[in-house]
Amino acid sequence: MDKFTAQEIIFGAIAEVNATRAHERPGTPLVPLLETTVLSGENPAVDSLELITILTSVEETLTEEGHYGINLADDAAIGKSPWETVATLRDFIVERLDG
Amino acid sequence: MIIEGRYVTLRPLVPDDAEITQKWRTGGRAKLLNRGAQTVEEQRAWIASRPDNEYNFVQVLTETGQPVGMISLVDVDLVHRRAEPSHFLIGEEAAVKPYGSKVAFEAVKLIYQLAFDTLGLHRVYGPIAGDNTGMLTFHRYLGMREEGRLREHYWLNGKWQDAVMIGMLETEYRTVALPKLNALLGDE
Repeated sequence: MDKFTAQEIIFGAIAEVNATRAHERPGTPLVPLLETTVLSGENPAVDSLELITILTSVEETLTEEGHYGINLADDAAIGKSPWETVATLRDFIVERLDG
Repeated sequence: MIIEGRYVTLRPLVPDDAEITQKWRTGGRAKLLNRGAQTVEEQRAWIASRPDNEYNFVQVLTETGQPVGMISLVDVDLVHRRAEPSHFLIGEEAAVKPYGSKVAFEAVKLIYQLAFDTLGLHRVYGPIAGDNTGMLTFHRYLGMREEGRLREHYWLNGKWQDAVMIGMLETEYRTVALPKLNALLGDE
C-alpha cells in the first residue's frame, strides 16, 4: 500500500470522529486532517475514546480492502507507539503491509 | 486502597469529593452515562452510602495529585468471582491532555489489575448505553465482548436506549486486553 492510500484511510477514520464531535459536542474544534496531527503522546488532538475509534476504523477499512489480520496495537513493537501522529501511523501501516 | 500508576493513581472516593465529582457527572462528557446525582448533597449522600462490595476511586495525576476523573469496580462478588467496572469518566480533559490518552488507558489497566490480579476474579462485565458508541468501541477494542442487549433499558437524553451488555473473561484480559493496554501505554 502506498503512503497516500494509507493516509486517506486514516483521514477517513478522523472524519468519523469529527462527525461524532459535530453531533455530540457542537462547537468543539474538529480534528485537523494533517499528517502532523498528534493522535497520542503530548497534547493530542483526540481523546482516548477517539484514538481507539480511529484505530478500530483503520483496522476495519484495511480488512474490507483485503488486508486481513491487521491489529495495530498487537503489531506494534514493544515500547513503541506508532500512532503518535497521522504520519507515524501512516508509515507504520505501509511498513506493516509491505513487511 | 491506593493504586499507584506511572501517570495516574487511584485513591478512594470520599464524601469530600462530592463537589468535583458531581460537576464531572453533570458535565457534557457524562451525558451518555446513567443519570447521576443532580446536586452536591445528593452526590455526597451517594458517596457515603457506597456498599462494601464496591471499590470507588478518584483518578488523580501521579505527578501532581490533581483529581481528573473517576473509576470504580462495583458489585464485586467473590463467590462467583465477577465484578462490574463502572463510573469510568475523565472529568478534567485539559489536565490530562499533556499526558495524551495514557491517563485513561492506565486507569483501565489498574482497575483490571485490581479485578484479575488482586481480587482473582474470573470475569468483568457491564452495561453501556447503545448510543455511547465511543465507549462501546473503546471496550470492544480492549477485549470486551458483546454478550447481549437489554432493549430500551435506559431513558437518556429524551429517548429510550438499549443497554449493551459487554463482558470479558480473565483469559481474554491476559491475551487481549493487557497486551493492547501495554502497547497503548508504550509499556513492556
